[in-house]
Amino acid sequence: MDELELRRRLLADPNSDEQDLLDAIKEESHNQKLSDELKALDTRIANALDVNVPDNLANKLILKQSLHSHQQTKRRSKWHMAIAASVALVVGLGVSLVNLSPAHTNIVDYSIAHYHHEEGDFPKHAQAQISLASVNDKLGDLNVQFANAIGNLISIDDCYYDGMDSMHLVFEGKYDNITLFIIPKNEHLSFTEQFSEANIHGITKQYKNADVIIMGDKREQLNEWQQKVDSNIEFSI
Amino acid sequence: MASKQTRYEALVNALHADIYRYAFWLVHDQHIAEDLVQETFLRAWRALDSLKDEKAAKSWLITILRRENARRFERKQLDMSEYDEPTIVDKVSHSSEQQLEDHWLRDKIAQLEPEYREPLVLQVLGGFSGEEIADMLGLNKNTVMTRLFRARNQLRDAVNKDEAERGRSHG
Repeated sequence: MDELELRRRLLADPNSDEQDLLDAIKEESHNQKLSDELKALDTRIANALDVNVPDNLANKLILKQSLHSHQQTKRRSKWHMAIAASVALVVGLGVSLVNLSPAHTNIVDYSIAHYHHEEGDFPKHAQAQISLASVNDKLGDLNVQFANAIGNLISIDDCYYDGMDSMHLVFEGKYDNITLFIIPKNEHLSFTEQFSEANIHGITKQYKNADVIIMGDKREQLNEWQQKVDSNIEFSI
Repeated sequence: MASKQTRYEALVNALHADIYRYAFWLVHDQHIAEDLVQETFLRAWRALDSLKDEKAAKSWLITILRRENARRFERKQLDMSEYDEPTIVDKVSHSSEQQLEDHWLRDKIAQLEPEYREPLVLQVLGGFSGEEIADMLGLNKNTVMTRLFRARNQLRDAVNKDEAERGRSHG
């Protein structure tokens, strides 16, 4: 090993344990001297590099980590709360949308859907006499009233007809119940005068302040009902 | 298998001093070094599952630390390439001659070009071999050995010059 290489290798790594280098050091006393000198220098370098470590650094590192983990947990639970709130909001909005906003574009679809939804909810015959005054009281919200009773009323109730405050009246029919919706004037539902489905049919009529939909068993003479409505319906505005 | 927390604490206790010293020699500022070590260990905590071989922990942490330091540079856009006035803060008020010498040498080490100093710190302080240093720094081994040679050569020259000067002033 020449002088230059030995110097190069010793300076690069004075503590090398490569055998050829160790042998070369032993061969010449001045090589040994250089090796010793460089090892001493390395000890000094090591001492110089050995700067003080801040007190309690290890504890600080562990503390910081546990605080961080804690915060993450907190953040995660906050995040969970936020997600839960969002889900609740979406569900809430969804429900409102379903109930309050137009989901249908024509009167036929909605009437049939509504009819089937409440099918069987009403008795076949009127059980209690509902006075004309109380009927008209209820109809007051729509500025509608009847001059005379138009049939045996089984039920009268407010309903959300496709998101609109409407009235849902159920009368005794010959074969089954006659359903009558009185809905406010609207623009989003397309109007059809007559419609039918497997067992039911319906007719509709647009009045001054409201539209009336009459539905019932296919055997029912809905025209007769229509005429009764025609001759008795009155609008307060 | 030890819990993640236990592993982490063992890692901190075993290696925080080495990692801090390495950070110090990388940035020459106690506070920045400490922040850097905090960031490094926090990242290490997050990535602890990826550390499979405990023996590789030190070089793994150093790799994280170097990356964190690079990020710090990007963030601050500081030009720290000039190490003319290294701010080596150390308590050397009333200290032995040995400590004074350390302090003097510390300045000399700080004045080395970073590319020479870094492998030297890894070798002397970290106890890494030439191959390991080459791996960590993304250099080939010959380059690392050349830089180590130059680093030591410069320090040796400085020491010899200093001794010659002191010899003259004493004599």
